[in-house]
Amino acid sequence: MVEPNDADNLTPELEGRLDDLFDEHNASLPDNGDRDGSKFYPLAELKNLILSIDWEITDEVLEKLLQQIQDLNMTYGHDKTVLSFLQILDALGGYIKKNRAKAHPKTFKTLNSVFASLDKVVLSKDMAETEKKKILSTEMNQYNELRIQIAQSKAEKKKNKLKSQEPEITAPESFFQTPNAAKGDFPNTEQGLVPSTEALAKAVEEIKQYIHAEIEALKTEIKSLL
Amino acid sequence: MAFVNLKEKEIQVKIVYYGPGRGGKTSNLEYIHRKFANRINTEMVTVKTHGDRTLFFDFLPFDIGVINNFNVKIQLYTVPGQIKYNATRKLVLRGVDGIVFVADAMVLRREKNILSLKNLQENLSEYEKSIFKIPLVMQYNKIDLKEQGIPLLPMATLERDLNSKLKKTSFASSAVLGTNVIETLKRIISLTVTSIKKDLK
Repeated sequence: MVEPNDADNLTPELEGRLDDLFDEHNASLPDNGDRDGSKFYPLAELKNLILSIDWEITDEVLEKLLQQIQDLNMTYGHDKTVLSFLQILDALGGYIKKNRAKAHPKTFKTLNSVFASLDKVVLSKDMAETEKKKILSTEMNQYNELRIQIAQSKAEKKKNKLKSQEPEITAPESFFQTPNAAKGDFPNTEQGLVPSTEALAKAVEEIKQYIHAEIEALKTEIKSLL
Repeated sequence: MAFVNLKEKEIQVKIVYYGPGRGGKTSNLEYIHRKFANRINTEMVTVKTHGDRTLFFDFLPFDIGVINNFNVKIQLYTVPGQIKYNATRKLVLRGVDGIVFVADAMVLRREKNILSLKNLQENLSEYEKSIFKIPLVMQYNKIDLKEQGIPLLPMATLERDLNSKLKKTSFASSAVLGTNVIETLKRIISLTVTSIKKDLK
């Protein structure tokens, strides 16, 4: 205790009363429930924020999450295992912030799983370092799997996009063989090079179907973007 | 000024635990309540958010009996520490007689402690009270975290940051373990009751 020089003098009556009332030696011990020192919970704020993300993804929550991870980086600067967990959480938080609701569905499961493991490592004081590293390795593998899945999903989306942009050649080949009118070089109908009325009607029908299919594909793509 | 009922010979003393968010203000009151539940025989009122943060305030009233022919009733309050709840803090400070400033000894909370102390000074000035004159005890909380390898500010740094001008009594404490929680409480009650007694003369 640091005493100031000008501390007030207390009346003996008051001092005596307070000593009697707050005699810690004869008082009942506090519950051994959730408030003893070993149960101090340094990850409480991080847990709140991760639970908040489960509920609703907002800029405020995500910024607080990343800030909290930075704070914990300072707190656990001496613990490489904890720092690795925090690094994964930071990467996941950054990815969610960038992609929001479009983030890969497995991201949130991985985020919760990494936090649960970090929680276990931080709270288990007696856990051996090898055990901690084993847990970290499991989470690291899950995280890497997720990264692969995200990359695959991106590649697939890109492929589908390209595919949907390419027109399907459904019209008859003859339709694309346009006569060179400028030169007056009309081929003979009898040679079968100028389409007949029947063939032309069939081609128009096919074009209609093609345009309809294109419109449907575009609708689906627009829906997926919303 | 404390509420004094001369007819009933009763004094109500309002003590507020002030400080940055997550510093351990509520933990102080919880420890007192749990440890002395049988003696103080009152309920602690607390309003919390889903995330276990103090949303409005905690309130723990108890009697310490008759002192100098006056029945002394103590009311302990905490304020929400988060910056955005300043209106609530001001409201809780209305009519305050004594303050326990609960600082967080963690290195990363250094700035928040200073900001909170400045905020206390500003809010007190709105009630025309001086932080230098009001009974105040400094408590540097969370010393138990050292065992977990969490970097803490040295006591000298905390004293220099927060108490170099105020020169108030200070304690290094652990609210979750109860270290110096009762010493802090006894000290603030003594200082406050003595101050009220002086004002009454």
